[in-house]
Amino acid sequence: MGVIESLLLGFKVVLDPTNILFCFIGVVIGTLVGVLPGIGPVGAMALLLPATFKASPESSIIMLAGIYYGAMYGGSTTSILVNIPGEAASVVTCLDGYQMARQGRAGPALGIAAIGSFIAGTLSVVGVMLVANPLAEAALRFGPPEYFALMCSGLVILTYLAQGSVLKALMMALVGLLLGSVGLDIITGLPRFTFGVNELTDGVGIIPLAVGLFGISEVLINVEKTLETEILRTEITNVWPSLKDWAAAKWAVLRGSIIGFFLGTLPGGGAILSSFVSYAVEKKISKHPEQFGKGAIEGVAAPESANNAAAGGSLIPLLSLGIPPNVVMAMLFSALIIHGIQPGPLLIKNNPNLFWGLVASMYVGNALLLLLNLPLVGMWVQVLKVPSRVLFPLILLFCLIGAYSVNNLIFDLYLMIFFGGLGYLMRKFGYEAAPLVLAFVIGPVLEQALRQSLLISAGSLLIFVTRPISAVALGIAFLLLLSNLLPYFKKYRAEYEGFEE
Amino acid sequence: MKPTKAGFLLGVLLAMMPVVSHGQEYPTKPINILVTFAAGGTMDISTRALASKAEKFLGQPFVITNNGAGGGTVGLGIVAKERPDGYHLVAPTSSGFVRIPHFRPVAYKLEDFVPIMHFGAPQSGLVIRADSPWKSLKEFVEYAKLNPGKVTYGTLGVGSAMQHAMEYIAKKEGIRWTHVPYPGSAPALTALLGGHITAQSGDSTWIPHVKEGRLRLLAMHGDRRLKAFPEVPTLREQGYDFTNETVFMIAGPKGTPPAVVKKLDEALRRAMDDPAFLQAMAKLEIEPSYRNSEDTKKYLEEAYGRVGKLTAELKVPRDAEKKQ
Repeated sequence: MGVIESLLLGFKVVLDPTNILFCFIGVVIGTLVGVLPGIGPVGAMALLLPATFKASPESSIIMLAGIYYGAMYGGSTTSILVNIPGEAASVVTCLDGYQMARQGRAGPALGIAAIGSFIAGTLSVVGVMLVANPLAEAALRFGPPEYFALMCSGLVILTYLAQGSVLKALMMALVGLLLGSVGLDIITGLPRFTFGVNELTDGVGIIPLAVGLFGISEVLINVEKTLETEILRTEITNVWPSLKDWAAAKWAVLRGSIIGFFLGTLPGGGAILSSFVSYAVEKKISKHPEQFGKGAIEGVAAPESANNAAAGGSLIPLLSLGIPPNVVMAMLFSALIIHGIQPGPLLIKNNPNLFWGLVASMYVGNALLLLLNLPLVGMWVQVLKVPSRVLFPLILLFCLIGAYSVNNLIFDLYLMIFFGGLGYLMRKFGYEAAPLVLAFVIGPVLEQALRQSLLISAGSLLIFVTRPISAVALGIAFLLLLSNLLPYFKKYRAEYEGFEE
Repeated sequence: MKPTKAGFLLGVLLAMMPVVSHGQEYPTKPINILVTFAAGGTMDISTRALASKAEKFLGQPFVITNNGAGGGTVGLGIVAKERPDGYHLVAPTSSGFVRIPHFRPVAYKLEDFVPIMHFGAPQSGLVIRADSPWKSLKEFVEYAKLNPGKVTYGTLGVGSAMQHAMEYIAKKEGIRWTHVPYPGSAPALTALLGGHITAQSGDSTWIPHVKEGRLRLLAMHGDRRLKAFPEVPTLREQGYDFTNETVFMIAGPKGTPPAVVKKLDEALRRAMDDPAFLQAMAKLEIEPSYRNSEDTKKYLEEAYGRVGKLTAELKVPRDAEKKQ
């Protein structure tokens, strides 16, 4: 069966009224959980999983997948409007998205996020359709040494995120690494830095951390200001991205899609990492890097495209190998098992209806999401007109509910409030939160990969350079680091020569 | 979003409800079960399947929540402090009682709970890649004997039954192989499929890959052979005195009235005969396995002793680092 015929089969499956309804329900729920800070796709999927037992496997999977990529659409909304990441993969969108909103450009920011998400989502479906199998096999070649090398590159990219002082950004990265090392040490199975608090056994949660550092601190900062905030006074100029915005963002969308798609296929935090990486890449190659962090539209377009493409990419290991690369995919895995479908290399052959139905549903779902989200842009922008005495308590409430809903733990609320306070102080003294969050995500993977590699190699460091993928990735990390340091040397030398004269 | 909100509000309302059970027969309101693993996992799905079939014998629904923190120990710590009125139950695996307390501090003891019953035994085994030269456990062990330290195996964590199984073999045969811990069975399986480790000692998530001929199953850790692979013997059949004794169970806080325990035990046992429950268990490859309240308690106490002895003998996980 050729790709076209298969796709037609898929559309036949998805255009069945029941399936299209399930697809719609999925993307609507996804958008909502994406918009609400803290409540992520995992929780929503877990709650709806039992409800799908009675439905057909195709309908269930179509709906559950819809929740996931729908959440990637919605996640940007609160990042842009009120500086609170709707889910972890939208942390980096806060940087420029929120600045755009403060300049009265919330509409274009939301618009480009939705359009970028649509393009990235659609491109990643094409990717899933065409290269699922070879890519899944390639992803298998990523063992501990390859992860180590990849995460090293990630740490180097961190330095690109700095907007103010590089030194302060590095300090924050160290804090992030330290926070990431809280919890069970996977190699010894013993708790580390938990101070006897059992709730910390699994480490610090990304939701309390990110929502606290960005959201709570934002509310605290605003409490200091007089009631009439500047957002209120800023005229909302236009709701749609202009042609100029589009021209600036189109390559960012494309690059974000490609980065997101490939990083998404790798196990671990693909979506989060890809959003950071694509942001850093845009900043690096931009002709006006100084505008990043001050409302550059590329800074919204790239990460939002990347996290959507990553959602599509992460389906590949599950569908073609039967390996769930992240928690969300583990949920889909369970759903497949429950419906008596064995995820694995034979899934596409044995269940063509399911696979191609899902692929087709993602085309349909992405179109539905665009139709759903573009009209909403106008409505969301109005949120900014809500008086802050109403808006901020509401934001706090949603943050609290979101952080609680992850694990039903009061402790997570304390954590979030603590990080809110920390985030407030960090802002007062000019320390940025983004490098901290990135290091926090990368740190545990880096450490684990390093130690696993050394176990496998019986202690020899050669394992990192004798394996081609790892050697290349380390080489790239080194070059990136060098290219980052060179300007400093040049500056130094120029100053020195200046003294000579 | 509606179901999430509804579920959350329901939970809030339930938590605020006063105890109104005076005079009426238990249960007069919905019963909470805290599953100590993440939603969507095998423990979660099987508990939900069981609870949904037990509702008709009790006349009240179950409300299932999840807290997967700390390998289940956080959830156990929470329920240990709940009111022992039969409305606050916990669904852990036996590892939370018999295994984890041997190597890290936890906020509860077995005596803080009344076991109600256990309903399933997850299956685990040793798999290698199908393109490996070894056709049997014996050949694999022979190779490891001749090449000390060369074989690497992955598990879902230090101190797990799967690691104990491997180290038990190593000790008995006088061989040395390297343990590579992963944060779950899926990453360990991925590493084996990618050829980054020699073997995986893990739970039955490898079944489809063995069926499709990518992996080879060398031994099962349970009492019985797996129905899907009747030709593969258990460790015990191959001369190793080791069984993975993990069970999925239900318990309540200490002081739960015996009459309530009896009623719950009976309802849950009857639910185990339900074809829908059995079908769910078959799909998850979990062996239905039952003991009543008292027998479960005895079983846990004995298993605690056995695992403690093994932990000390194998020195796993205490000096897992030094072994390398």
